[in-house]
Amino acid sequence: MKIKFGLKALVLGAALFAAAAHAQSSVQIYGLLDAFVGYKKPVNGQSSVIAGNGGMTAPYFGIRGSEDIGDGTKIIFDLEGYFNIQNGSMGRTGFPQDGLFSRNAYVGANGQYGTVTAGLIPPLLWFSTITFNPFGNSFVFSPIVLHSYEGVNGQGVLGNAGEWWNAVYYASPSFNGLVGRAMYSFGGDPGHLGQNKWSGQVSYDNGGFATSVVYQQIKYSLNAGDLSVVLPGLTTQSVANLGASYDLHYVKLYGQYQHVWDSLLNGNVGIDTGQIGFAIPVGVGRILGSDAYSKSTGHSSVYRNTWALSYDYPLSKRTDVYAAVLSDRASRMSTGNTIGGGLRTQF
Amino acid sequence: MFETGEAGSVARRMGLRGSLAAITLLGLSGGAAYAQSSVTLYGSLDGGLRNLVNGTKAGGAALTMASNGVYRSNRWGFLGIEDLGGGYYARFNLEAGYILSTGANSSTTNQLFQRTSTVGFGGPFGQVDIGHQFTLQHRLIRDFEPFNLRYLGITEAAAVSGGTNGRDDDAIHYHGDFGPWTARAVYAPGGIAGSLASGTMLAGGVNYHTSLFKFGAGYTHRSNPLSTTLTTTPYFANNQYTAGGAVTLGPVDVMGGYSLATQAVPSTVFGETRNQYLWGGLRYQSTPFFNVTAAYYDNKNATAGVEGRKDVAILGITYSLSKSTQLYADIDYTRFTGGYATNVTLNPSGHDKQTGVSFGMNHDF
Repeated sequence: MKIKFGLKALVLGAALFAAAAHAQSSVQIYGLLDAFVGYKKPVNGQSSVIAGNGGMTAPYFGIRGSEDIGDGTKIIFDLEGYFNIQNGSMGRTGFPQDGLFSRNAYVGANGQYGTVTAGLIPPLLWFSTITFNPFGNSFVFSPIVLHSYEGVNGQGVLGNAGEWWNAVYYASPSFNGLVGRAMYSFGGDPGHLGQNKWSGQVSYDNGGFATSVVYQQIKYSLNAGDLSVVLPGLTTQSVANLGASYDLHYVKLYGQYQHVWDSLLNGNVGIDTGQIGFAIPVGVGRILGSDAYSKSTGHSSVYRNTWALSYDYPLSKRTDVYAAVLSDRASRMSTGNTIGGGLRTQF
Repeated sequence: MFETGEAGSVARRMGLRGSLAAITLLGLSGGAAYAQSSVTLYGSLDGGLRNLVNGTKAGGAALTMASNGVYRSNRWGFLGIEDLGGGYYARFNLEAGYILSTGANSSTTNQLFQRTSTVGFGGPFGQVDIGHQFTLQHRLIRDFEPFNLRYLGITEAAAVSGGTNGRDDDAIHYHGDFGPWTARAVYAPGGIAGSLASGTMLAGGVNYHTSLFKFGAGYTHRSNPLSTTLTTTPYFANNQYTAGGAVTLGPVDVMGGYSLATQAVPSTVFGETRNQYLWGGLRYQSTPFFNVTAAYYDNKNATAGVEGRKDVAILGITYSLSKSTQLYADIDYTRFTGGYATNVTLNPSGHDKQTGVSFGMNHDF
């Protein structure tokens, strides 16, 4: 006796409820799997042949639901967890703090005055990073994701970068594509109210053109008081990110500029990062390309340049195959290379 | 009105109580383009008791329920198939294990989909799965394993499967069916920086099956490193040869198999590790509901410091209440001889004879 559900997701529509009081209430089960085979030599590392996890998107599964409580207001929740398809473990590779629902875990409400949620929520900067580059949220082939979230030589964005714990979030309704958002994350350390993280964003999306400005400031990474453990001497990190994309149909262009202010005890460091990218439709597939360049100034002068090229071919609306190559150079480090091909499917 | 979604409450909300038919909600998929595409939520629950004599150092009998399934390992998972047309399809499988009596994850290292996590692609050529999955031996011996990989905590089938808990990480597994033949090949890169060979696994095998006669044979080669992080760590060859077969005579299946696993060791250690497995059994399906299976497993361990045998005799009966629910009972006897009996890793109890009796119920959904 197996329970089979529909192609896109398990949608438990109103007709299936014993009490069909709320017409638009639903719960969905969904997820994504992505595995690739390739060759990898990380910067300053040694080469290996790998069966890799999440070449294009880190695998996850999730349950989300909404309950219509009338007057255009809905109660919403989302529980999503990353997992590694190559060994079945929960969380992302290299993020030991990831728990069962490490991608999203929140409950909130959505209505005519906007959306309010609380729980584990990805920070606004993460959405800007993955929206305005052609490789999305790939931890393997997206240059800007590597620069921001797997930084080397003291570069990178800190603060449990892919998600914030103990966070509250507000998003305004859309005014012709214009949306404002704000987030606050509680350090939860008794006696240290100053240990917090906050972020604000204004974004615009209309007619093929999208742009966003994000600012965030963190005083701790995972737990209150741990910033100097993550990067010795660090007291505060602030990040400003400007992103834009424009779809011209024969090509979609992406661009990002980001500045990171690291307040360090022995001298402040600024990191400027620029990313440009494109996606060109070729037949049913797409050619993707992106380059990210980061340069530290102040008490550090390291640089990093990373580029990636890929061909992505859809087998169906929810399944695609891809081949990609990435080259990664950084100061005082041997060049890194990753070449791989993989399969990605959603349910 | 919602509880957080778990399999049981989903089923409850869908009003599935008592229904035995598979439910496919294709009407909700938004299009009939992929008629055979589906995602299935499935699992099994095994609740039972086991009384084991001399199972611990203290000796004596101990009655327990703490197990992730005496008869069949508890699991829940998702299986998805997407029809891509032309006989081609994409598929995925995510499967987690749990301990029924405590609700805990069956993995002690908090691996979530510890039982299986794969994504794959199939067609007329066969099927390729990538990810964390069962070893070649596990799939190969299914045709001639008397208990069909049930009672894994008692029989020697899990040891024959090898790998880590019978599975491999990072594995690329091919199998293709051609008439009565099934061809199998597995490659798992080691992923150890600086070495192409260290940690890799290569395996190949075939199965032949007709309604009367079945056999299979396979070979697995592993390059097992002492450490998975140091590039300078030496690695050592592990070879496993497996073969077996079965004959069906009316309601009776007679089957047997053989497997030899050798592990090379550093020159500072004397002699290689050598495990030989030999098993045989009889299955009797007296009615569609009632099954009696008897089997004998012999493991000869020829390793410096062990030099002994483990022998298991087991008799099991199952009675099916329905297609998805079974009552089971077994009686088993395990005997250790030579160094096997006193080796604290291989036989933590230290007793050379153990007798077990179990009974319970298994339900698949």
